[in-house]
Amino acid sequence: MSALGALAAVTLALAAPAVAWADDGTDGDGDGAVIERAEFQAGIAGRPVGVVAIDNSLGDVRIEGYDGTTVTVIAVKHAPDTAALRRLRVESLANPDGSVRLTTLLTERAGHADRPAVALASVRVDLTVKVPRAAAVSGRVTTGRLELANVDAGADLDSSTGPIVVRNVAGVVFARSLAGSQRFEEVFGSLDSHAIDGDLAFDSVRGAALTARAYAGDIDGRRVAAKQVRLSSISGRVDLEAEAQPGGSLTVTSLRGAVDVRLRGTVGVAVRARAGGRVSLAGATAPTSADRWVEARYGARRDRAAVQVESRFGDVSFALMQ
Amino acid sequence: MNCGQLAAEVDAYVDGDLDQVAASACRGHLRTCAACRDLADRQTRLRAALAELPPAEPPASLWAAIDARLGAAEIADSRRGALATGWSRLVAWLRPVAWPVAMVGSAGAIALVVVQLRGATPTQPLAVRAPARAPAAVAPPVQLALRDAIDERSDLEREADARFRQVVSELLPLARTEVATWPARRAQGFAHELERREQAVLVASPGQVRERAWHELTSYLERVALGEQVALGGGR
Repeated sequence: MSALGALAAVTLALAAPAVAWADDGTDGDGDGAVIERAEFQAGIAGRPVGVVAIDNSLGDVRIEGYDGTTVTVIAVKHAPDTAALRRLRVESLANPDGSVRLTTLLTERAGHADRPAVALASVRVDLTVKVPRAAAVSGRVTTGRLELANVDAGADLDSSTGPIVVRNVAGVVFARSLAGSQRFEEVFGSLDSHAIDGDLAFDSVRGAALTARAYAGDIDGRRVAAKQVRLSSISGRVDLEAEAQPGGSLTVTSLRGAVDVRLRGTVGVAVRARAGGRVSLAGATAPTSADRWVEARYGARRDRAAVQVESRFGDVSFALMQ
Repeated sequence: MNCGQLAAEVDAYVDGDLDQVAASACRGHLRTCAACRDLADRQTRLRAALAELPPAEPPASLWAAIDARLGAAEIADSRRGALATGWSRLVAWLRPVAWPVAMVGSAGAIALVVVQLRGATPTQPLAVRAPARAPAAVAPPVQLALRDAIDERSDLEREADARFRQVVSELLPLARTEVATWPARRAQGFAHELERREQAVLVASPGQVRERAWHELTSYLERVALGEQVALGGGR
């Protein structure tokens, strides 16, 4: 075993006994379930933590940045009985390169196939993880809720059906979900978000670029101020209230849903719009070609922002706000 | 038909258990109501996902428990007195005879009541809604819902794969319509890019890696379908 591997393995071995702080009662709601709460530090003493990766397919994850240097994990396990509780594990692996990986596991019934099966809905592990503010974070849940707050080095977030909630984050953020909704508040950096069936909501996003795509979900943006904005949905509606940026570009599209864009700001804007339904664009020229684009220009010519709004089968509207 | 009636009938409709008139009414309502269409779609998807589940194997502990109870009943039989044993034999002997006798008697009583209530001749057929399917001759085997959480998690992964596959199948015709307007070389680039991303899904391990590969594929198809100027060979 290499020296690095040995160090990582030692860290794992040290982390495991730290999880042995348990409540030995029920959770008090009379359903006979048992809970166990554990708090431990993850990481290698004296080495700064650069990356924290968390994968919890058994419950919620809440990641909070703070001004410290270590990673603190609070794990709360719920199970119908102690036998099921023993199958729930939280593994922590710290590497000398400064990365920390936390994974929750449901161990097999190997060798104990006669033991009763455990329903997935009856077990869960919720993690609250405090990470150094400067650490890059990656988080994954399946059905649980994934929350991230107060970090400065961006994040990479995945969810299957659980919601993703991001607040007060700087750096580049990627987020993907299948059916989970995604909500972002106070993001200062580029943001790239993709969902299949979930809705996407943005409030106070400021950065170089905002890209958001939904297949069947709606997209709702408020107080968006990014130089490059690209929002699109196949079946959902797209609603955006944004601040025009000098020389910026803004493309908002839906195939089947309605598109509504409201811009504020002092820079000039050149807009072109097209819709299978109704186009609402004050001062627009009549469509001049077969492709049905209509155009309008507002404000000063210098550093105009370019705006394109389109819905192939729905209505589109554009308005400037004072 | 309104939304409430549809909601009450949707299970039978999806299962094909409705007669032609009721099924036609459901179809008519679904043509005009997006919310109910969505409900019916979800029910159909759920059944498709359920159909892919392997049959549940009952655990050995269940059979052990059943065997133990049977054994206990036999031991109890062996300890009964002669009178109790004789009564049990009589009941066992009458059981096959009792049902037909009771059925014939009940049918006669019902026919008498119907004739009296309708005041019509007993030869006139009653307007009864015929079942769309004949009742099964043999009861289906009992499926025990004893799946472990690990199996349920695999089910969730399969359901996620199924939903992504469905989205891809919906996006592909849209994307291909758009690509049909492209120059040949660019269209060829689309084919290569599509194949690359599909391959990435196929080789990815289940879980996070595969879901990311699915997102890469669906996101690319969305961009093409919406007519974006997609850079070949890169970008989401």
